[in-house]
Formats: sequence, C-alpha cells, structure tokens
Amino acid sequence: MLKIVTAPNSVLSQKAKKVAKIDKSILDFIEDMTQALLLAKDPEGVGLAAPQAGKSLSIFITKANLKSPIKVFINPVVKIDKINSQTLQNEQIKKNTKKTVTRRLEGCLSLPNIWGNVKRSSVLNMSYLDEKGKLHSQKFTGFMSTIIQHEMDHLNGILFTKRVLEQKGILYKSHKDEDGEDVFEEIKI
Amino acid sequence: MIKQSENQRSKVVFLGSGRYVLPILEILNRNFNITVALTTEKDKDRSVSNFCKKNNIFFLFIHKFNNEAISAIKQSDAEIGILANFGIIVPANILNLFPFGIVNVHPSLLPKYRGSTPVQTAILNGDKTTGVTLIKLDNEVDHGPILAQKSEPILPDDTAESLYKKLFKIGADLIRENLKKYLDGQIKPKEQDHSKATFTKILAKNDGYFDINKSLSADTLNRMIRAYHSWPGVWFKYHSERSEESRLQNKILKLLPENKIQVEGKKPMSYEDFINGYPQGKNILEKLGLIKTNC
Repeated sequence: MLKIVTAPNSVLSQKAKKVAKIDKSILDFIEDMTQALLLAKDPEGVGLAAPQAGKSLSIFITKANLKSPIKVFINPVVKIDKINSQTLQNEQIKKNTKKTVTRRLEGCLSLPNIWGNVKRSSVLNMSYLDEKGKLHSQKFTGFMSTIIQHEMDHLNGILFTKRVLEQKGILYKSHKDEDGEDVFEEIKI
Repeated sequence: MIKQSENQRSKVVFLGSGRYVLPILEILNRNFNITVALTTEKDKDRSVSNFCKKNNIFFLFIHKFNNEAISAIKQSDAEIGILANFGIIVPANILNLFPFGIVNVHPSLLPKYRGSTPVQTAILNGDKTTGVTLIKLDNEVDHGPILAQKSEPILPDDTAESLYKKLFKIGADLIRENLKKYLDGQIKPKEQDHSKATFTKILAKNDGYFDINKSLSADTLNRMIRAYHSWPGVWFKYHSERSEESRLQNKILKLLPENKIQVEGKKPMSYEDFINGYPQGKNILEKLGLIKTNC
C-alpha cells in the first residue's frame, strides 16, 4: 500500500503543482490515496493531501467520519474568507454570538504523535474540480472547513505546526510511558 | 497496485452490519465486485444499507436465510462471501453456495476469544494485545481454518468502540492484502489449535450494572467502563440513608470513559464538575476508587 510521507521531507514543504489533466495515472493515484486514508488508524485520518502521498500535486481528499463518503478536491482555490493568520491571532474567539473562528486540536498523518490547537475560519468558500473534472463552487462550514484549511496548507507547503506556533499556541508530543499509558508533553521550542 | 476493470474483478457477496464494518465494505467495493450485500437487525444505524444505496449495490435486509436471500446469492455468481459482524449464524447449505466458501473477519487472535464479544472480553481481561483473524467459516462458531492474522496493541484508553473501529480497519487491510491471493490459490488456510480455544459470552444490558456496596477494584471498574462503552454502559443506583443528597437519591449514575459521569436525566459531566455540583460527589468517586483520596 501507498506509504504516507512523514516530516521532514521536501515534498511536504513545497507548493503543489496544478493538475493539468485528470488522466488515468491521476485517477489511479487518487485511488491509492483513498485506500491509504480509509485504512489509516491511530490517528484516524480525516483528510489526505497529495504531497503526503509523495506527489507534489494540487489534490486532496477528505472523509470526515466513518459514514461520510470520500470527497476528492482537484486544483482547489479558496475564494473568499482567505485565511489570514494575523487577523485570526487577534480575534477573540467567543466575541461575537456568531462564531467566525473555530479552535480545534489538530494532528497530522505526516507528523505522528504531534498535536496542537489551531484557530481557523469556521466558514470558507472554495472552487475545485471533482475526480470527473466537474467544476464545483461550494461553501464549507464546521469540521469540513477545518479539514479543508489543513489540507490547503499542505498544498502550500505548510504544516499545522507552523499555524500553532504563529498563533503562539503550544505543541504537544504524545508518547507511551512504561505502562503503555499515553502521555502528552509540551514541546519547548 | 494493479487496477482491474469492473468485469475482471472477482465477484463477492458481503454479509455484515454496523458502521464499524464500513471500511471493509469500502475496500471490497474498490477492489472487488460486490454483487449482493446482506445485512440484518444488527445494522441498527443502517450503515450497510445506506452505503449500498449510495454506491448502487444490491442489498437485502434479512432475519434469516429465506428463499429471496438464497436465490440472490445463487444469481450473484459470487466466488466468495465476506462476513463481518453479521448477526445471523450461517448454515451449511449457505456456505456451499460459494465455491470458495465464506471468509469471516473476526476481531480477536483466534483461537482466543471465539464468540460474539471478543473485543469487550479482551479489554475486561486487561489484555495488552489483541488482533484480527480471517478464517474460512465452517459449521462451528469461529472454528474454521486461518487465512491471515494481525495483532494490535490495546491502549490504556481504548474502549470497545475505539478498538472495534481500529480492528475492522485492520480487517479491511487484511482483506485487501490476502483475498486475491486466496482466490488465486496462493494461501492455504491453516487449522486452528482447537486445544487453545477460549469462548466469549453474549452481553446483556444487565452486565453493565454493579452494586456500589459490593467492592469492585478500581482496575476492574476501569476495564468495565472501557469494555462496555458504548453498549451496555456501566451504572449503579445511588442510595443513601442520609438525606443530604436528595438530588441523587435512587438515581442511576452512569460511569463513562475519559473520567466522565452521568446522573440520570442529566448530561455527562467531568468528575470535577460532579464533585463541584454534588456534595456527595467526592465521596462517591472515592468509594469507587475512581479518584485517589488526598491524605
């Protein structure tokens, strides 16, 4: 099975190239990505970007939970609500009744056992092609919005740890103690 | 991986229920041709039927192997059946409808923990490791020869729910790695060592109840909480001779994973909120050994 690339690896830190044509080799690659995501456990994967599968291509897939179908995003472009880390940093999370920013504990299949809270926009609008080449323009909210921003970052060569640090958050490393218990430890930078 | 077109793929019948088996169904659907899916009352959340509807797979919801199910299997022309968490015992005449028989994905390291609650039993026993086994079904429960097996550690915070989820994903991976080889005759199933077989019992709702006045060790209680999550859960009835805690009097208190407790009629809360919210909270948790007494 396709092996998920872990950091450090240059493919994870470069900007992904646009897909010129959705041909058989691209579809086969997406199929391999899909099976790798389906079988990922500990942590369970909810999304996977092409660079994590070793190819610097503008593709990612999502599966928010066991029951949700796999969704394929090719050449995605976030249209408005562009995520600006500077404004996110200064924003009070519970300031407005309408939540515009969500904070979630994130992990990544390419950074095993590393965790951290990331503030991200609760809503985003995006255009993308599906695996059949059909153009979609769609609004995403909630968990899907978080997943998409995490995967979009991958396509721009950014790992979530960078977001945690620029938001002055804390990174945690989990490991097993002698009893096999999960221990979370703060990573000092 | 070699991609095959739809008509070259081996035809399989899927027999299973519940959301944990979805990864198996997904992997089968992507690598084989599922001609029929059968599911039962165990598919309470309709996971299998909804998946089949979405993916245009013919499925039947059955209570027993009726004529409709038998003719669907016959017409499906399937080489093999794949069974996971099905809910009905498969009789011999059904096994014989498949040239390669039926492969069962069983979430334990067979011959250990045959029967219906292998994951719960492994957690209750405090095992550090369990696993998944693919066997060829025969006429006795979880008794058939082994095609493949893989172990998986049980983490201290694993619940039956989290472990079932992981084990069936491993099962899906084993299917992906081994099913084609088996159909090509490259895998010879190996007889289980029946002298080492152990059996698990069916769980009833009452298995989750305990009497707070009969001492259970904190360790046992912790295992019960993890093994019986999310069904049947672990609970006791609170009763005090004194009346200072009238809000808890004769109420059911449910113990949940991740240090949470739920008072009948209320939402789950952390131990901390329980201690702050109820004068007897600290005493109750100390008595159960769930929090340590500060000396």
